[in-house]
Amino acid sequence: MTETRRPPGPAEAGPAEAGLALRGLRKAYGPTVAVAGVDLDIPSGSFYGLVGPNGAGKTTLLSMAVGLLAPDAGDAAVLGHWMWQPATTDQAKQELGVLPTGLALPGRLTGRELLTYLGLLRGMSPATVRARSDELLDVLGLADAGGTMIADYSTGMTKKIGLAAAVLHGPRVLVLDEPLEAVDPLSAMTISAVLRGFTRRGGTVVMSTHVMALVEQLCDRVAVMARGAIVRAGTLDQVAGPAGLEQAFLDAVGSGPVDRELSWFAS
Amino acid sequence: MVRILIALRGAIARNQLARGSRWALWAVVIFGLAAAGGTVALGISHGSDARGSLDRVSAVLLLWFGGQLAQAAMNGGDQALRPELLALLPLNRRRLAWALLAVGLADPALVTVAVAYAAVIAVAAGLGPAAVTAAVAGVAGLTGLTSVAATVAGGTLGPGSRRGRDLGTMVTALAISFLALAATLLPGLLSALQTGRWPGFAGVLRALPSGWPGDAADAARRGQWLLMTAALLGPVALAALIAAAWPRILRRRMTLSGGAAHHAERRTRRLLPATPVGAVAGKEVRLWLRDPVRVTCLLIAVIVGVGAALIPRLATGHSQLLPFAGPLTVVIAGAVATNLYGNDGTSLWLTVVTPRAAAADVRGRQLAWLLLVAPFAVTETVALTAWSGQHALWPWAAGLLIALLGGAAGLAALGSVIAVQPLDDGGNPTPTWSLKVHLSLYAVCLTAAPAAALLTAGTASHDTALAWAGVAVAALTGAGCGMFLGRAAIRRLQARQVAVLRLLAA
Repeated sequence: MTETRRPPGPAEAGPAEAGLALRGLRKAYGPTVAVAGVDLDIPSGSFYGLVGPNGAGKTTLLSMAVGLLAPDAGDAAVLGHWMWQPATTDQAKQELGVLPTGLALPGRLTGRELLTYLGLLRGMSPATVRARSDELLDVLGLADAGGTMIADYSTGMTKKIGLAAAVLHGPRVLVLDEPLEAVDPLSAMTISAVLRGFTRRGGTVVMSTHVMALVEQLCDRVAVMARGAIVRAGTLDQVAGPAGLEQAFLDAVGSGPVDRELSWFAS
Repeated sequence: MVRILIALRGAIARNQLARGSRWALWAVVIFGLAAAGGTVALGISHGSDARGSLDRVSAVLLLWFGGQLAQAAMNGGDQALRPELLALLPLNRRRLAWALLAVGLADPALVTVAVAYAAVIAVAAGLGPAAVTAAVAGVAGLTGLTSVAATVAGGTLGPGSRRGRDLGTMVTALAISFLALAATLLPGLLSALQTGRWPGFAGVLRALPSGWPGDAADAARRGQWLLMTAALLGPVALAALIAAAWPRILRRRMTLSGGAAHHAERRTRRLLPATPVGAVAGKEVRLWLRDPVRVTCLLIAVIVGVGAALIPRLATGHSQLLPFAGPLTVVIAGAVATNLYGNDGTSLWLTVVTPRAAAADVRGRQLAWLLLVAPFAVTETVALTAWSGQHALWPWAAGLLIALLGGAAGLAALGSVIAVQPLDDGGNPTPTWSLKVHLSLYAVCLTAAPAAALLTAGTASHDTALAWAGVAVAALTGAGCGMFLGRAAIRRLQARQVAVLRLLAA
């Protein structure tokens, strides 16, 4: 889990063997510490699950890792390129595909227009953008909705077009915050297959989720986060142990009793 | 239920206010009360002809009445207590509809409207106790009708198709801007009504609901009791008719979820270069034309720009302002473009995660604005200057237009990354957004100051060459502003894009 707690120096390269390396990432809002100096190495080519209860700091941690939230301290390296060092930020962003949660897409663009805009913004050729957009819309079941404004998409469709936007430019590391939230089972299977194919070809996926079954099904490594810190991390077998991931999660986050009933249900 | 809903609306409004600016709210309240006070003053300062005075007040009451309905329709009703919030509760829809009408009557904003309507009572004060009594009853009836009609107007623009809502918002905003322009003719209009010079128009005003309190007071003065009763019962009957349709309208609003989605699947030929700047410009042109807030702002720039120059020509025959219609359009279109990142909300994250995107984003936004505004402004300037016959003003028209086009393109970019103002939860501009745009009007004008100085000197000294030198200076300052203010915007966006995103996400 933790290699070093020392934040990087300006000229120091990040650990190239890690798809994503977090070093001393910290964020506080007034007296509330959202992320308390997290160190974590996510090996290249792994499918990494990040789980934790609501308010654990998962979204804050991932937002700092991908450059969407300035950390109070620490940094994140994408394939060895530091995100918050001006000299390497562009390289880090080039290697990264991001699906955040709670941030909007331009609602009055259609799905296809969004992909065209993002592809050309990244300097891709129009032919490549068109071919990849067609394939993405087809694979993700959005072919008929490519001409529909994103504002008219359902939550699941919005997640899918967001995922398409994240992978369009061919990143080597994907950071996905709740990628399968509100997605129907059929689309979830499609997305899962796409992501598995991505890791099989050497890509790295970091995914936050609340669904333990999904982590057990997709991920080879997992980290459990609670109260702004990583409390367990390792391979799925190491973290889950013989009792299974759900029990390991409950043990790790130190939850109270979960089998309580409401008094008025009995009457 | 009414008491609970009023408390709920109060709690939501308090939370919304806590996040907004308190002084901006006070500014809105003071402005509203001052306008209402002005209307009452108009009633107090009535002339000797009682009917003419009542017609004069009825004309202003029509603006208040229409304004309330237009605002409700544009906002989609009460922003604090949207019916969708209650959609999942097991409430009888008819009972809920009546409750919402009752809640509408308890809207604090209605007090301002009632104060303005009291102008009729001020006129009636000089016409005897019967007229005063009729005026008081008429004002109460009209206030109730306003509340009911505004609640229902807000409910008609529910979550139907996005395109329908966008269109409704745009049409209403345009109606308001036309109304505002018409208000510039108000002094002449009021004078004509006072002296009875426009009997046809006065007849229309009396026939409209906003004229009924005046009709009631006039009928009471004359002892025409049947007519007075009809004028007093009119608002009640109309409110009852509208209220009868309300449960059906509310049910439609609460059960329609997405409506027809808008399809724009057309493989259009790419007119812009397939570069990062071209990509941003293409996206921006689409958003300018599809986002109701943006397109309304552009159309208001066009309407006010043309109207402000055209109305003096039509009203008094003066054509000196015609050559300045284009520059005025550019000033307004530039000022409304100084909060683009605030308008776009958290979709800025797409720029943040894309390497080297800030420069393309700023330059693309400038290019899109110029593509939309410049062709119209140039055509407008050439056509109206030629029509005006004011040939001596050609250097003025050309110089100001060129300087302002560049200045506004630069200032729109830089202003958009300074004091970013997010839209409210309903996607509508906030009072501080309006304040920023108003300040930007002056800032955009300042970018043409060097050119204006030379143009003034040329005109004062009757030196045509000097005046045309002003056009050359305008080209220089325009290009310089577009280039250097844009560069400053790029630097600021690169340095502060994450902070701006956090502000928008808060």
